[in-house]
Amino acid sequence: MSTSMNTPSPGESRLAPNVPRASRHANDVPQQAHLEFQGYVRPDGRVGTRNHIGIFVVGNCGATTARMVADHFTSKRLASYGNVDGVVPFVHELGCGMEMTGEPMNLLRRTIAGTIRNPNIVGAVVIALGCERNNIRGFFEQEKLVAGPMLHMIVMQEIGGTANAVAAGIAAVEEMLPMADACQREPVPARHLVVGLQSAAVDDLAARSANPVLGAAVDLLVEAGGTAILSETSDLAALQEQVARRAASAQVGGRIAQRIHWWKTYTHGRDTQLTRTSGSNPGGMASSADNAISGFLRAGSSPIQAVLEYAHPVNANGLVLMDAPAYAAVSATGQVASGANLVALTTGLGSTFGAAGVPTVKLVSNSAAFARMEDDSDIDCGPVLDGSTGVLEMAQVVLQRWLEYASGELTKSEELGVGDNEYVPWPIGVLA
Amino acid sequence: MTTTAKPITPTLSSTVKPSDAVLRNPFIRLDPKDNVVVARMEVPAGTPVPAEGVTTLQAVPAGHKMATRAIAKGAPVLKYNTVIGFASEDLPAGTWMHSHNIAFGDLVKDYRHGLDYAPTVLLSPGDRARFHGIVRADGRVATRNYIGVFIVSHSGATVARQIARFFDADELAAYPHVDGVVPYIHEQGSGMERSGEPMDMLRRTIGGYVKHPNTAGALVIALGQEHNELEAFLEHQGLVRGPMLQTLVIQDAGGTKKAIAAGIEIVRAMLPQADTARRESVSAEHIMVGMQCGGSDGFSGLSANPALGAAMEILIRNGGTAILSETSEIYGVEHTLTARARTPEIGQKLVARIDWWLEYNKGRDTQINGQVSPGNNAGGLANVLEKSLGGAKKGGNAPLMEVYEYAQPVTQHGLVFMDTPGYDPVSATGQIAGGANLICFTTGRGSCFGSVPSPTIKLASNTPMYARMEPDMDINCGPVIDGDATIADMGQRIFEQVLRHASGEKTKSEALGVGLNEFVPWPLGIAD
Repeated sequence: MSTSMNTPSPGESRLAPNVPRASRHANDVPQQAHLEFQGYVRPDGRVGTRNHIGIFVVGNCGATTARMVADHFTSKRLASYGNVDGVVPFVHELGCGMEMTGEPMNLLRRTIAGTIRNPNIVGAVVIALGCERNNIRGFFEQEKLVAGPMLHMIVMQEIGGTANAVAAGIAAVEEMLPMADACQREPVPARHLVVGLQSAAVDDLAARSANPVLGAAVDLLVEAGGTAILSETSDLAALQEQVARRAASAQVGGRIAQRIHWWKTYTHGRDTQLTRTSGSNPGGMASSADNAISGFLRAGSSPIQAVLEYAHPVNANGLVLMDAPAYAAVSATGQVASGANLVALTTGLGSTFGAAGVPTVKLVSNSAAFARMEDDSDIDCGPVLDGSTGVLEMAQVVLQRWLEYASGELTKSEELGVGDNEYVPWPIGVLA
Repeated sequence: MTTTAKPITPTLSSTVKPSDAVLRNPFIRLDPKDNVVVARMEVPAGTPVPAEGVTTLQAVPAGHKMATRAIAKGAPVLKYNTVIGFASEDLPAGTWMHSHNIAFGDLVKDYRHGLDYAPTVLLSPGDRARFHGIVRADGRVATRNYIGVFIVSHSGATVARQIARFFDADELAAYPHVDGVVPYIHEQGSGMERSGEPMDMLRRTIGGYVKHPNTAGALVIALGQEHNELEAFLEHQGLVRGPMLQTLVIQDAGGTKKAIAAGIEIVRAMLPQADTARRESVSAEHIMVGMQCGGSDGFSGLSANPALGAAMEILIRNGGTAILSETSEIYGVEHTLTARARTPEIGQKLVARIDWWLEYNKGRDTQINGQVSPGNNAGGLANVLEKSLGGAKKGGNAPLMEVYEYAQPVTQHGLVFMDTPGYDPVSATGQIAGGANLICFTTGRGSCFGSVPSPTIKLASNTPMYARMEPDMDINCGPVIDGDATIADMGQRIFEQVLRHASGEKTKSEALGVGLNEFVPWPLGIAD
């Protein structure tokens, strides 16, 4: 079997014509250009760090069916498909009892479709009950998805209920497995990395270790031509001027101001991080203002090249801002839908998060928390605190580790099976 | 059309012949006082209808209405003995009645708060139906016996699911009186408002499940510093740790792997105690049904909903409780409930919730703001009022005894209302948190819903769908449409099946294992 680079991929038909390609700016990458990882090159030029089959639902009514289909594919049943990393359920709580049109529905649709198009997803089954407000055919049409050998559609009301739908889902995956298994890793430049930046359960120490280390690693990645997605706008809103100064153009600055204004209106009168002027967060977490300042360190020193709304496809390389809440599960879900093929998360007290379908690398601010939560933690940034390791030196380690994880080494959360419950599209509307 | 496989069960609609009963009377009479009846099937013009003493003047499509008496211009059109609009011209008996000749106009709702209240005549305790339930220490009665694994926030999701998953049939083989170890996973608790109604609502929803009679033991898991802070949650809900209510903090345990191992040991230690539960014969007054409808069709309001209403009237005469919900879907007919309210204050509470919904959904593309969908209109529903009327029929005609907010504990017996969205998993979650120990779910197009710890019984509105989705459907109400059963017959059958499921007989969704992804507390607030 040849690799997907040279033959028309079975998944090609499902891709929209204008999906951005990772092959831009190929000639202006200076120092880090020699850096490579082993990735899955997709027909649109983007590169996967994993090779998953995804089981999606247009609404919660398909949740149990989707999970039963994914659960069927145990490591034993996948043993003969060495190039397939897993069959992953992308289950969520939305899709029905919500607004039929407008931004809440558009957001949900582009999140699911963006995830289906993520280069880590080689094939997909989309499951519907049949009468959801997020109608499955309306969803395919709006998102320009076309059913084919690597994109299947199952409607439970049409096929005769749960058991028949589970059987059909399993059959669809079995049909896709040989084609998915034909994909092979090949060396690609580091500029194909798209890293989503996250944080969870940060402490005061993160401002002196994990966050500046991540920022320096982002600078190295950007220098190599790669992409980093900054999010958590709800926190950054407290630093409006600082963030705006980093805009690469007046247009980008205007977009940043626009999103921050939206957040101030959205959270007005609500008891949230942005509206809390005093008081501390539970469990020794950093205070609101400090949290924002510390969090912005993750973005390094590169200019912000573009501002995306939640789950819109990444359309530039370098550092970009994708609007999202600070809530890691929601924020990472949006970044993956935008095209992130790696997530980097800083924590102080210890996080157990892992994104669905995309490896999450967790950087811990101090060695004590790293030791306590070692089963969940990937990189200890503690040595930076006592000066035994410099920030830049640590950042080089981080970048190297990213390349290893991108090449297939399992992160801690992947080893633990975290990710099957962590797909959370932003619930932005009202229920009905 | 699916791209992957063909339906295994064939659709019956093309092969079923109309029964004799249908041929005798192609119309359904919903109430003796009505001046319209509803067509079971398409009825051509000029068809004599001896049961009503009229002949159709025009063709009447399936699910549509025909006038059984002359209705003068401006006179009310009565369906379910309720005004659904006014004749827009003088209409002779036999006329096809639809949006073209039923004016909705400026119907002024007369709430008549409490004016039509007539107390239910309860059966004497010795005459009440009985079922086999598990009596808990506080006197409440369980229909199932589960150990629940809960999370204060989404950060514990994977830990909770993996702990519950460990307890498969083999692990539980030695505990035949335990129905299972189940996870209650949700997407809230972090990145949300720290105080106020969104947080209170989440806490009382989780708390209601922890305290539910069907929950024999509970393990509550936290990551360590979520916005729904563990100790504050326990205090808010008056929960006190003990052998059958334990907590686990992932950061203290040393991460995911160690927390899973610790959680498995905690649950394992609860199993012998949980396994001491035994069923005994108890009165049906201990049954509390949460009513749901989803995937409705034109027949839902003709068969499954009124048949469930008849069953709930029997349950209520036996001293039991039926919870009507889905506020946005009773909009338009709230006056039929307020008039039956036990007190004017209860009626006013319902109107206050409706007003809240109109504000919540203001400017949004939702049903409360719109006309009935084209599909509903084609199915014979002339306006929002008529559609809501069919949905409200699930509650029968019993008096309205109380109105509750989402996930509040339900303590009043009889027909009560709980404010919830129409979205089924969210609505059923609120009812179960309120104490419902069974869910009765009507559907026309076919639902695959299921719930724990209270099982869901699904009622099909029509026979072709029942046949197509039989592995998911518990009761076929199609015989009402087919002319083979009256609504009263069907109600009695449903009530009897409710008693069996309450006594432990597995529902279809339980047999399939559906219910572990359907716990969805109402996300009322915003994410940040």
